[in-house]
Parts: sequence; structure tokens; C-alpha cells
Amino acid sequence: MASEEGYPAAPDPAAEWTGARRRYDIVKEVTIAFGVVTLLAVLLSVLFSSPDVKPVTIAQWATAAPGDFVTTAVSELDGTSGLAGYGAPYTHVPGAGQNIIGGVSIQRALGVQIPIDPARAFVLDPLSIPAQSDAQLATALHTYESASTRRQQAWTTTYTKALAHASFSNGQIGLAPGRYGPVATMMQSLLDQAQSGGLDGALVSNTGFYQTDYTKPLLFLADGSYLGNLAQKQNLLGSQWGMMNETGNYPGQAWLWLYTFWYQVSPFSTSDNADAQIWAIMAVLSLALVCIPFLPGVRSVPRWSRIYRLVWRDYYRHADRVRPAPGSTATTP
Amino acid sequence: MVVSRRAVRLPGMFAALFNLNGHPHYVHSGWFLISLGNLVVVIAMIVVFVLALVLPFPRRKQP
Amino acid sequence: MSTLEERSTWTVRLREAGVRALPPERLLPDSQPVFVSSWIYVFGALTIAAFAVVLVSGAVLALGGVGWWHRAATGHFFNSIHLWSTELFFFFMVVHLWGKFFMAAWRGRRALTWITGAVSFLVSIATAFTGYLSQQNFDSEWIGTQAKDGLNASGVGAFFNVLDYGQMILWHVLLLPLLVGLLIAGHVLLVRRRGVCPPLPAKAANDGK
Repeated sequence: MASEEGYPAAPDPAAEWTGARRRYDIVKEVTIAFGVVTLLAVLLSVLFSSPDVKPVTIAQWATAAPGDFVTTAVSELDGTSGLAGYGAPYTHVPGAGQNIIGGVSIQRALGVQIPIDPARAFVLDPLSIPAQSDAQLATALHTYESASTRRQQAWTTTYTKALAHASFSNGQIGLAPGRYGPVATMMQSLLDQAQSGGLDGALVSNTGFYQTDYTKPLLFLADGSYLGNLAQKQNLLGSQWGMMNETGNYPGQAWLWLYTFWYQVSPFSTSDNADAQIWAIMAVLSLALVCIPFLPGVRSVPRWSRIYRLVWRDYYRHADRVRPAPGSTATTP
Repeated sequence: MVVSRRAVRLPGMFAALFNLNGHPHYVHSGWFLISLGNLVVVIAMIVVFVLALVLPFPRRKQP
Repeated sequence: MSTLEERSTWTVRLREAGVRALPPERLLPDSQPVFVSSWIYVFGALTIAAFAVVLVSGAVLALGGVGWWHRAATGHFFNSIHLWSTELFFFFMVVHLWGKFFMAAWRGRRALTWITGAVSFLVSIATAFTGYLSQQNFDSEWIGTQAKDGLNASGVGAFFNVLDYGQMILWHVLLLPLLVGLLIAGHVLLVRRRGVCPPLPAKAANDGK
């Protein structure tokens, strides 16, 4: 029977509830919930399936965009690529790496943990495979590796400039005559190797038989423009709120909205240290989310908003009914 | 959401009835850009939240 | 009746502490406070149910192996269930979070309940992230090559290599779901132990303590 004791107006949240109770079947509720969610998931799968866009291979890149591929390869060789200048955790570059604030950089502090030599990893080591049966390539490699750094840079710089006006036809790089040294032979061989699919395997397999680590081919792909151009068409770039998005019209990761938001606004949209700064902001905001019970102001929002009155409206109605009117000495039924 | 007008292959029950792999649709206003898929999900969440608050809950017997 | 010597065992101490904290009728109650009468209260159960469907569909994918869903229509179907149940998991979890926030459900020594819930949300994001990285398709390539910059900038990338498929798949299938599961279990046990948070006073004026 309803009574004032059963419906306290201001229950103490720290005390055990001694008020009115209702029947409740927890096992039934969870079972029904499981059934409902299973049905919903199956229905959505039947209606919409899931995306599975095939991965880009080095072979695909080299065939669809040979100019971009060769330009990237030369930049890896001469140390002007994005990876070569990246710094920790891949390459030793003094001063490289993002700062959170001032000169403070966790990235630099932790140092190189995944060491990669771009010239060796993406050009010289892969080419050593076809060089075993290609005397001209073997000679070119030997010439390049035994030249001085200054001579190597002269060749690669000249080659890079000529690439801007090169033609690509039937897998052949058409360049104006120039002093490219062995670089022209090396790049043609690398393009052949890539287009045939051999480079995909070479970049992964040089550490053993079984493979699970795709760091090298992915870093190589990321240094070019081809992967990014494909992503742009799918609105996946950082400047397109890409972190939230999925290919096609599938819903993506809407819960990342606040993380990707910062990349769209100044000063982060033009900052070289945007990643580090935004990570710091999100770490603070995540901590704030976890600590809401202790944050003055934020923890008062529920009371100000009064949304709770919708949740417990039945309870408040009952509580009002069973409470005696002010000044009355009558007890509740 | 793009409804594919091509004939849909149906090996058993495992192919999608609606093809969401087509050209992506986005809502764009100034610097704000959201995919139609995400917008539908966010609106659905808000609607479901409001409904959860306002829909009457069935009353049961008290023990 | 056990002797004093028997009662000092670790097993007995653990059992008695467990039963003290969560007697059976509190662990699996057959009644609840009368104020639990809103649809907002079902979203915790829906979130857990969605997590269970994610785990089951993930287990089916594991049965076929990592390449199965690329080759077989049945595998692709279970991948779809895994994706949509994950979307539902986040959907229900966020509605549950909104509800608990506006009810100030951390009151009455329930701060740890809120904390375990919020941390579960964050760890779930990381779990989904490793899932996207484990797909071995264009999505994984793009997400990995982009995410590496943020992770490297924070120092995390030195040890958590998003381009290393072998590492990501194991974090996704074993380590992170285990952590999410433990957090959810702790969260639910805390709710059972403290009870559901009672209503704010109808005429509330003070801070949400």
C-alpha cells in the first residue's frame, strides 16, 4: 500500500533504498534485450551489408599513377620524403616531431622505436632481388652505393626535376636526356618490379617467411598522393571530418565528432603540431568526462536542466499523492 | 542513401537489399560537414533519447 | 560447522567477502525500487546485449579466420552483423550515458560507477578502432596511415603500431575486449552493490553531489 515512507520526497542517495519496490525480472530483461539487438543487427545486415573496399596495392599504385610512384620512390632514395623527415618513431631527425606546447615533445622524447632507413627499405633492398639476375641493374646499384653523398644527390635532384616533364607509356619512363647517373636504371627497374607485384611482397617479406607487419608498404603508400586522392573522393581526409566517415554512404564513427572537430578550426587547421595539441586537448576532455562527478558546475547541469523530472515524473506524482497536505495531522492511508 | 537500381544478386540471404557503396552523400554548411549516414544515426539517437524520456512506462504490480 | 582453522583460508575469506558485498538476492534481484519506471533505464541492458552480439559475431568471424569474410558471402554476412551490432553498441551506450548524466547517477557514493562507465566508453572506442585497422582492406590502410600521426605525436605510436596488422588484430580480438568486459562487469556489479540511484528531490536546489 502506498505511503509516505514508500515514496520519500528527498531520498538519501547514499542510503539503502527502503521505499516501495516493484516486481522485476532481470534475467528476462537481459534475454529480451539480447533478442531485440540480435534481430536489429540481423535486419540491418540484410538491408545494408557492410563495406569492403579492396586494399590498394603497390602494384595498383605504380600502374595507375606511375609518375606519383616514381616521384615518391626518388624522394625516399634521396631522403626528401615525408618519412625521411618524419623523425620518431621511424627516423633519426634532430628537432623533428610535434610539440604539445613550447618545445615539449613526447614524440621526440621516446625516440626511434620502429627504425626505418627509407632509401634501403623502399629502393636499395627491394632492387637487390632483381639485381641477382640483371647485370645492368646490379652495376647501377653498385655505382650508386659506392658514390659520394654529394654525387648521389646531384643525380637524384636532376632526375626529380626531369620527372616533372616525363612521360609514362607501357611501363616505360620517358625522360629528356640528362645526367641521371644510375638513378634512371634503378627507377625503371623499381617501376617494373612494382607494376609486376614483386614490390608488394619484397616490402613485407624481407624479415622472414610469415608476415603480419605492413609498416613499410603502408608508409611508402602514405608518402605518395595516390592513396590520399582515393580517400578524398570518399570524404575521408582530415579536412573533411574524415575521422568520422566511412566509405560510401555507411555510417562511420560518429562518436569521434569532438576529436575531428578540432582539425577543422583555427589554429589547429593550419598548425604543424595539430596532432600533438589535439591529443592533449582530448586527453584533458576525456579525463573531464571520467571526472564529471567531481567537477563543480558540470555536475550541476542535471539539476539545472530539469530533464530528470521527465524520468521520475511517475514517482513525483505518487510522492505528491501520498504526502499529507502542509499543516495536516492526518496520516497517509 | 542510394538505392541501387541494378539487379541485386541474392546468394541466399547474404547480399544487401540496399547498396550503400555508391557515391557518398554529405550535408555541408560552411566548415560543418557530415555524412548522411552519420546524420541519420545522430538524429536517431536524439529521437530515441527523447522518446525514452517521454513515452509512458507500463506499470507493474508491486510485491 | 567449520573450525577456526578452516575459516582462515583464502577461499573462505574470498567467498565470505563476496557474499557480504553481493548476497544472491542483491546480485540477481527479483524486485527494484518503484522509481525505476522509465524507458531510459533499459539502455544499460541494451548496451550489454549489443556487446554480447558483438562478441558472438566476432567469435564466428574468428572461426573462419581473418580472410574468411573477404572470400565467403556467409563470412561477409557475419562481418555485417559485427559492424551493425557495434554501431548499436555505441548507439545504446551513448543514450545510456546521456540518461545517466541527466539523472546525476553518480550521487550517493556512485562516482566509481560513473567512472567505470566512462572508461568503458573510451576503451570501447579504442577497441572499435583496432577493429577498423584489422579489416585488411582500403579502410584499414587509410585509417592506419592517418591515425599513426596522432598516435606518434602523443608517443603512443612508439609502442602501439597501427600499421602492424599482427599487433592490431591481437589487441582487437583479445586484449581490448577483455578489458571492456572486465570494466562492464565491474560497472554492473557496482550498480548491483549500491543499488539504482534514487531520484533527485522534486524541488532540487543544491549541487549534484
